[in-house]
Amino acid sequence: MSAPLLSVRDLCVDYVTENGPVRAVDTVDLDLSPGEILGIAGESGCGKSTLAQALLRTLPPPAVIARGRVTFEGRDVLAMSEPELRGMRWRRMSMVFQSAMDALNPVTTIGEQLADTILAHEPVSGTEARRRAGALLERVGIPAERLGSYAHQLSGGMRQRVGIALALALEPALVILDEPTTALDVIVEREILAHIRTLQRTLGFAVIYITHDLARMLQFSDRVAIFYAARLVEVGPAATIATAPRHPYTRGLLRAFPRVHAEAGAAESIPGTPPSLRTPPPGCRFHPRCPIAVEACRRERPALLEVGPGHLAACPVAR
Amino acid sequence: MHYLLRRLGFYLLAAWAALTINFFLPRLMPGDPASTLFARFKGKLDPAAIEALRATFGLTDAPLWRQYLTSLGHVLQGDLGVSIAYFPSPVAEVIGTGLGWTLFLAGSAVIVSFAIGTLLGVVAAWWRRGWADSWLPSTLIFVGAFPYFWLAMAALYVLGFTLGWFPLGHAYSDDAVPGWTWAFTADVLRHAALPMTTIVLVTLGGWLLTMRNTMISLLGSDYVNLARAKGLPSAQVALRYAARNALLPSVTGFGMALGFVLGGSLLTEIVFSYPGQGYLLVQAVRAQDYPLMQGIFLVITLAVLGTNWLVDLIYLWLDPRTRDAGS
Repeated sequence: MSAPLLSVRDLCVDYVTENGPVRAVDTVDLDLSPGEILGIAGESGCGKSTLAQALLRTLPPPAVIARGRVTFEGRDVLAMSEPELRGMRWRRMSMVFQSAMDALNPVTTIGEQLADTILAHEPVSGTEARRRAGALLERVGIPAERLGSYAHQLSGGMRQRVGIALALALEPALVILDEPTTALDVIVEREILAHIRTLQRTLGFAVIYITHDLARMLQFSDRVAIFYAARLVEVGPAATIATAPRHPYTRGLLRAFPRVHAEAGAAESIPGTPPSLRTPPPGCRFHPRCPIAVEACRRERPALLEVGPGHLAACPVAR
Repeated sequence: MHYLLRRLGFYLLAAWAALTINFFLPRLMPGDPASTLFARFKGKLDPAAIEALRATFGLTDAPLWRQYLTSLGHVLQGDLGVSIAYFPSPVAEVIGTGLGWTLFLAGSAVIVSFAIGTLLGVVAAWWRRGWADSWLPSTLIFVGAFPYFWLAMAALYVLGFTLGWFPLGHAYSDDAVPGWTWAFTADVLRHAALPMTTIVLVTLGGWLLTMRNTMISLLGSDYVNLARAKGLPSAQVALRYAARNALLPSVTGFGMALGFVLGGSLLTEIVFSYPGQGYLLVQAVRAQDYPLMQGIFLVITLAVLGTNWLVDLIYLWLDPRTRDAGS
């Protein structure tokens, strides 16, 4: 593997509450190569969006980064000052937000919102910024005449395309997609993902794709990381995870999605519910729902161990 | 455009309803202004004069619907009848003198209060839990909680009477010559300073809190987070993204406050003997001057409707979503 674009070590994020801290991201290690698509999957509330915000250092209070190191393009993100962060944000690392409806300012035109992004980072004239904003819109498949439109005048799919145009405005090295298609219907979702794929191939940026839709993610990503209750339980190449998952949680997740060619009723859910991060179970957090748990799972936190080429899993029991 | 016309139509309808109620309400009460005026002259008027007066006030023996139509016609021509308290001045003329002073005093007080309060709200929200946010809202709400007349009288007593820093009443000094001169303008401002300051002080807290609370909730919104994540300068995030959107609910309140300016500054004008609309209204009530009262109520109604229409216009300009809903 070449030098990683992004490397996360031992990262912990806490939500400080009156009853003490709640750990939403628990000792996470991750690496990302330039131009790679990494999928991050997990149930709602497992900490995957928190992780994304921690990378850009836009965590809203009361969330705080408790510990760890984030290195991006060789620089320590957690040690950056506010002006240094402003320089890194968007220029090198940008993000597409979950809900396109809420991510655009309702009272200014999308053209202004694209142009102010460019103007904040580059010493260009207003006309030039506007011309580039038009080119960006064209790039995501929206005619440049729509620059003067407001968010409410666009369809959900178009709004999300504007969100993508915004994220690509300064040609960053890394784009984080935080559930970019949850608010859209399946057809528009497929179109948009295909479009991102094409843009990614031409522009060569790396992608962190966060979703709870495992099937969609396996098609879209090069590599996949599975989260469960604030911890990473499995990381590996998408093809390996799809065909030979190791962790019982990943296996359960894959069984929970119906396959097109399987008989009706083949989808199974994982029994039980995800634990509360306020009072997580000791040992392996998945053990109360795990079909193969042994006594040791209740006591010791399993380490992420290499089980194949580039394939790590946090389960010493599964074979 | 269509939207504005539709709103205008609605306001015209409301204005007509107000005129109608304004016409019938006094007629449901016992007595009539002509008899009142007659009584004030204690028998020194002859019966023919009463009839003439009744005709002047539109109180003929004609059927009610005919009186109603006549009265509507008069109002449309700007003829509001003759004042009793200020007999024989026409009501329109009496109101005209008070209207200017009220518009100047209370109008500018509302605008100043809105501007300062909203700005402070932005400051308090942006530096939440900061120095300004911890003492400004509580102090201003504390001041605003005093009964207005008490605060006004205390200010008048201490700053005007005891210390002599401000004049005790009226819109300008008795010896001042009205006109567009520096001396007269300065005199008017000196007289308006204390009443205006008291109005601003008691209303500031409301504007601040409204703006602060809306803005704080918007600071957590996705588009503000996105603006921050985009690496925009803080001032741009605060003003163009957060404050610009947070302003919308405040503008509604501003329009309503502006509408009530013409009727709402009663206490100010009484405490500071300011010759405005509120002062006239008190005089009208004391003298049972129905035409003047009706005239004032009419002006208040039209002002509320007019400013509401103005707010609709401002909204169209501020919020593009309303533009499309209308067309």
